[in-house]
Amino acid sequence: MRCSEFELYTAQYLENELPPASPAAAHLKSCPQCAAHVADLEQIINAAATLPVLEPPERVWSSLRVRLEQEGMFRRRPGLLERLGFGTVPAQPGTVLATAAICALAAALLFLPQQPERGSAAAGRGARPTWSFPGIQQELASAEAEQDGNFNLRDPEVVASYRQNLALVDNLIGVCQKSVNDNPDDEMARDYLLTAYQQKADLLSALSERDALGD
Amino acid sequence: MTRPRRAPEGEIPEAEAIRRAQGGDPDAFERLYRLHSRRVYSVVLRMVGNPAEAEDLTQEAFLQLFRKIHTFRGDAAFSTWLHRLAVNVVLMKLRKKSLVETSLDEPADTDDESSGPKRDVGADDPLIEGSVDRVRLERAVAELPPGYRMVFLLHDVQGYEHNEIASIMDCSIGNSKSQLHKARTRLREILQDSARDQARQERLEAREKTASRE
Repeated sequence: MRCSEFELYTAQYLENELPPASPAAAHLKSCPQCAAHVADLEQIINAAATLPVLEPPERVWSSLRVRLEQEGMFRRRPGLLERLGFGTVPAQPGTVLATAAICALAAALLFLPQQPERGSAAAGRGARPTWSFPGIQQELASAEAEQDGNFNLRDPEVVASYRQNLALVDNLIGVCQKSVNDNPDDEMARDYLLTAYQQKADLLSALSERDALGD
Repeated sequence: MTRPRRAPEGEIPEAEAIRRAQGGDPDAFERLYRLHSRRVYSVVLRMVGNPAEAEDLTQEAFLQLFRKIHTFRGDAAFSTWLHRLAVNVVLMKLRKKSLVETSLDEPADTDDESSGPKRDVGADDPLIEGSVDRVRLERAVAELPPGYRMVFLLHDVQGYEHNEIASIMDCSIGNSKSQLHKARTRLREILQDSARDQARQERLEAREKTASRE
């Protein structure tokens, strides 16, 4: 067999489909040139198997989740209020005001002109710029502190559920903030961070609404 | 390739996640995403070469998957079905960019992928120098024509069998085998060229070093 003929059997050999007693297999044993060619291809195959599996950034899931929700693909879970079977007790004036303030914050976040503050992660040469939203952070911290003050008046199940959701949303904010810090010029990362803040405002708003409607 | 997936303790198995996702359970959607997103993103990123685009396309592939999940009957492997969607999303994107003709079963005569690389038997056929490291291979893969690259990634990197690739890419098994062989042979040529360039560069640098000493 000639080398040009063996060429036709190379793929079969690499797929382990070449019978050991075939003329092509015999040629491979006797021809250093074809053996070297096959060895090169085997080297490529072995190297390909070691290429790493790559991790998509967390924002891909965050964004996908938002789209799935928008398209109504998630079966609607009963909301916090529904799960706890709230009544229609007249609300206290104070909690109505608190609810209104948090709802206003949530609405403001929705239509917020994105003007975050740009700073430096570290002073000096080579410092990377960072983005943060101090106004929003301050408002949310204040709303959160206000809710914390009312814990002893609430059903422990409500408090537990709220804390669990708050931990999740705070974690999401942390992930998004890190992403913004790592990629300061990525507009998408900043959008995700704003969406995370929005979720926190929604959560605080839901709790406050529950108080407004009465236990 | 179609390996049974064992769920770590406390996590719902794939089949259960599919069933729950068909009922609209948000946690099941996330479970399916976590199970498959790395492999989908890996192949998409290596196809388009741009992380931002790869993120968008990965999201699009999963979005299409979840929109159609109620139609999944389990007669094909879930990952094969998902990869088929991802491949279509990528090829659509590449077609929109007008970069390539990506039909695999009926390649045009003028298509670079149809003729395929041929070994110049008897001519100067240097071996790939040293072992093929990941970086060199990643670069070489990026230079492959898209049709070759997709089959190579699915088979040699992701570990799919030819019958699965035929299903994913909507081509014949023979075509998948043929594209794979052409891809590997083309990669060898690219790596040979790269080794030659590197050797030339090293000779040049050595010569300059010697000249500067004199």
